[in-house]
Amino acid sequence: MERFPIPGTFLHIKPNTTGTDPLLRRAFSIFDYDETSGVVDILYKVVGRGTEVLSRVRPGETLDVLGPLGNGFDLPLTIDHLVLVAGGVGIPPVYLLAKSHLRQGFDGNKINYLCGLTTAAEKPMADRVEKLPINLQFATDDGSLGFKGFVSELLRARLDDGSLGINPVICACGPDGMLKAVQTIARAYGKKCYLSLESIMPCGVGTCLGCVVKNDGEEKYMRVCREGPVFEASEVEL
Amino acid sequence: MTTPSLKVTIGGVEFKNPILTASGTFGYGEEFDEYIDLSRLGGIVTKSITRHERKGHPPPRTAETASGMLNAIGLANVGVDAYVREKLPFLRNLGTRIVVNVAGFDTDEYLYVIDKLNGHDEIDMIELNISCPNVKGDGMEFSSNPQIAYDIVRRVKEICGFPLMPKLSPNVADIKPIAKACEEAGADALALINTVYGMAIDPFNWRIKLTNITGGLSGPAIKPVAIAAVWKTASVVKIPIVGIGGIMDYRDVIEFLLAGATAVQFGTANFVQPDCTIRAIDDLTDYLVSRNIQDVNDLIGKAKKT
Repeated sequence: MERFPIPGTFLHIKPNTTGTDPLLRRAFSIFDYDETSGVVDILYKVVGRGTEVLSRVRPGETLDVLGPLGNGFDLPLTIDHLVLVAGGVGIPPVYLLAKSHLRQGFDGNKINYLCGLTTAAEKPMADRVEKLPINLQFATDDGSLGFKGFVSELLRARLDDGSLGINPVICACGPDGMLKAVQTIARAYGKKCYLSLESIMPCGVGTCLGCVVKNDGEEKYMRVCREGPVFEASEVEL
Repeated sequence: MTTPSLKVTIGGVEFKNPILTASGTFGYGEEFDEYIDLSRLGGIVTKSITRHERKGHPPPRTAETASGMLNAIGLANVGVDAYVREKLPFLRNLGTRIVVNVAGFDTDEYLYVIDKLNGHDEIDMIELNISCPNVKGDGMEFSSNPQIAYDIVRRVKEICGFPLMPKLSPNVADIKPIAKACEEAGADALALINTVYGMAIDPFNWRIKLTNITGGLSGPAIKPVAIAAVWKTASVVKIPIVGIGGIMDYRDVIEFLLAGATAVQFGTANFVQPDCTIRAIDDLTDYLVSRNIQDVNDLIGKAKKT
């Protein structure tokens, strides 16, 4: 890619180079961008047919990629404190957001990255996050690394002890259950919060209406691929 | 050799080539404006519109299956008034034919929507989605019974100011009597097939993949079903057939034409490759040149028995 992508935008990738199974593209949040080479990275876990086929693609092969697509995080540098909450493969968009803000001169001391993993063995996923000059804390389900418990509980504990600044903006990406917990906490503490949602996206460009999420309060649906994937936490019903 | 002619005529309307986009896979056209040159298309069929706005079914609405996908979007659309006000202006002067897909749950709804569209000269044709459940009847699709199909097409034809093309369901024992009934009722062309009934269940968490339980299967998985439907229908009607079902590239286009279709619609392929239609137009042209075929119409119904 030619320029630094907007954090939270995604790439729509055809996993196979030929054939019709899998048929559809898969959406991946942009993980990292190297400004010298223009190379873009994604981070994914093999969970089904699409990612399994993708994992067999060898270096040097060409993939069909559409993007960047969607609306990412749109946060001014004037915010007081940036709190990033990631669960598992939800690491990429908030990692790129931290990197983007640092690159524009935002103070790394005012960035807290709360990284939720199942167990310490998953720590390599967060290698790049560790290299950023920001405050990184881990939460693991089994307590093998950092805080024992869900990353949403870690968020609550840090909001309670006041270590996340006076007026933090929370940005989260991860499994539905985690996002719902973060949404509830942000609402309870009256903090501004943005969620990067995941959805099955057949087209990725707003046409198929397959990836919708319900609008909170209003009886209408919004397209995750077009109006999102980043939404203000208060506007979506999870 | 001269450039072969790709022009086809359906219901008195000339299309610059036989490649259209299928309803529900191309939005209202504007969504694809940044990806392809819309003026190159033979035509655009816009997403089904109904009397009122419909929000559609709760998600998950789609599930991928082997070489196909299930969808149960639930005819989500802006409603005919907003369509005329907000969507039609973009479609004017695009340089391609505009076919408006109209859906309804009873006869009055079809008539209401058509009446609202009458007089808008940017519209070239109406595609009548008669695969919706008939809510006033027994919930059966309009196109699953020849008499019901005849009645609805007849009533719509009486007031419709555009050529009329009913879109038929494959979910019937025999498509031929339904196709004939539509022709006798005054249909100018037929579009087939709509999606095939389907369902998928996750073997690990035992959950049915769609909230709506069942959905419509599309994609390459249904192409042989569609080819057979076009072939059978072509043997009993004189009006042109527009083939739909799993078309991914120019080879599929040729297959449908050989089966008896005059034109085709690309559906699910638009999700996979936004420029699939443009590639197919170019590749079809190359194919005709390489075979020294001057006119694409020379392919229609030319399939040979082995």
